[in-house]
Amino acid sequence: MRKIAAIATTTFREAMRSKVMYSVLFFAAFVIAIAALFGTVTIGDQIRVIKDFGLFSISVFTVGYAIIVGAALLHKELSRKTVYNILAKPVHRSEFILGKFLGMLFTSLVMVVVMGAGLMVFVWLFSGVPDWLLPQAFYFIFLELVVVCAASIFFSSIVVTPLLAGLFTLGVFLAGRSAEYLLHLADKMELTGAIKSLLHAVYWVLPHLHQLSIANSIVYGERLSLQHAIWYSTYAAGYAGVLLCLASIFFRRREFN
Amino acid sequence: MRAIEIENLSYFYYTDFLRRKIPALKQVNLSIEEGECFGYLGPNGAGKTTTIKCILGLIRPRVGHIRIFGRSSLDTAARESVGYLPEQPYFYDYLTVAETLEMYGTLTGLHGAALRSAVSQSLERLDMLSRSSSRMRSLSKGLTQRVAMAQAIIASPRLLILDEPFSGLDPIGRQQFRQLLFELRKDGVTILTSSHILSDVEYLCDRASIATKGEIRSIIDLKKRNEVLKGHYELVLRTEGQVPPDLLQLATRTRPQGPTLVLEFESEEQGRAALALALNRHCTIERWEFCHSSLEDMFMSVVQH
Repeated sequence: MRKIAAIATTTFREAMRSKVMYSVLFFAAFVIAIAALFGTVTIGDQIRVIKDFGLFSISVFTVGYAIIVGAALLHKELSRKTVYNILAKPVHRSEFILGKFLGMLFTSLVMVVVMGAGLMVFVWLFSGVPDWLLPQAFYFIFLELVVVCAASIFFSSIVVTPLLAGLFTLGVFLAGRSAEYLLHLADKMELTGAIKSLLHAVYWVLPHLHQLSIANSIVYGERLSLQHAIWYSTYAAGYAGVLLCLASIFFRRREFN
Repeated sequence: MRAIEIENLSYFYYTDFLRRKIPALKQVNLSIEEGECFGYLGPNGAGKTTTIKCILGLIRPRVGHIRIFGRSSLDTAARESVGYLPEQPYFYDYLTVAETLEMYGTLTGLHGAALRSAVSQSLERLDMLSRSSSRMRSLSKGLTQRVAMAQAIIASPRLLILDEPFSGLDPIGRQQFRQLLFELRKDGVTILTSSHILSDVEYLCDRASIATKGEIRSIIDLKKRNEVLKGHYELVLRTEGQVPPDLLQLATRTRPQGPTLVLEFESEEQGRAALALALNRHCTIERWEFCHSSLEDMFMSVVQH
């Protein structure tokens, strides 16, 4: 466990000290500020616009960061050969994969917390009262990141170029966000037999990210039950676990020529 | 006990598209005893780094077995007693030297007070205490090499595998590395080192192998170098005056060296006869000595054949 923690801490430290993360945070803060200004000139519920735009920005920036950095993570280790020194120690390759994942996830968590705190302050300033439902939305954005980080590690363990790994992860994210449409499609087109079964299979294989996207409910003041939170947390952890196991299997077979 | 045992090791790479096999190692057999210092020599492409990667489990042997202190090299636990210095060490840019060593120490199983003590000890041994809070990206190649050595020895390994340990070091650093390796050897650490600097291998190692094109061609016992490595006699004359032709006829080889002429003789008798003749003809004698052929001569002869 200490070895995994050491790899995770190193990944986190590297990310926290690089300029990329601060650029993303700065840009996100800028967009949230624009959203706040946009909200003030909106006819109707300006607070709702700020929350909606703010949650959307946090999700887009953190997922974007996870896809770009995660897809390049293993590639960078291999091209810079930093992985050689680590795997020459008594470290299992699965420990390396898990350490990298946790480091990246913790970095994403810090981003969500910082951006989320910024959005909370904006909402408080504009409405005069803090919105304690927002942290629930931040938690679900984090759950989505658990799956996206695992997917980016998975793809970067099986494909050679970070661009391909990034595109595959983006594809899975977009497909996961719109997975429910596959079932609607099957019903609407009245598909039967093999094609319907195939669509259902694809639906179950894809991560159900549409169910983790609860920004709308939060914006309209709906509170999610604890049972829902536990179920979706288990789902995200399980899905990420399967992806990381597969990533470990592929990474174990990799030769460092 | 044998520190490393390599049996019938073969490895080949595949080309990208046609999947043709390119042999990198061909039936390598080698055993290194515990406490021994072994030099693994060969020109570029001889398979030195590939052998080291196989030992460390970074690549799997296509054929054959490797054991480290009796355990299969494919077993992660076999690397618990191994320290490794890569040919071109790369580290995380934004970590400090101390953080880097803490990470590698943790990966070898150290923690708490033992880890902190190991970090400061290895920094001290490599004369890097004053740079412990420097970021890795700010270090020169030589200083990075020192950090690489520090992480290799941090957990007091029983086996140290060094891939070109002297590359990028200035003369002072090289001297310090030699001294450190000498001390580690005295402490009973087994050392396997590949190097292009043959004089260092000659100085440090008990045995050395010379490999070319993935095969070990020769293993030399450097403790018996005087018996194994041949030598010759040299008479060095100033060449202001004429060198007598009959003196030249006695020499096996001659070569000019600055303002002198070097005459080489295979036997002592020939050398003594030439020396007597040179004295008789009033030649200016600079030197007369027996010269060992070096490991470099042996290396060149094996590689060129």
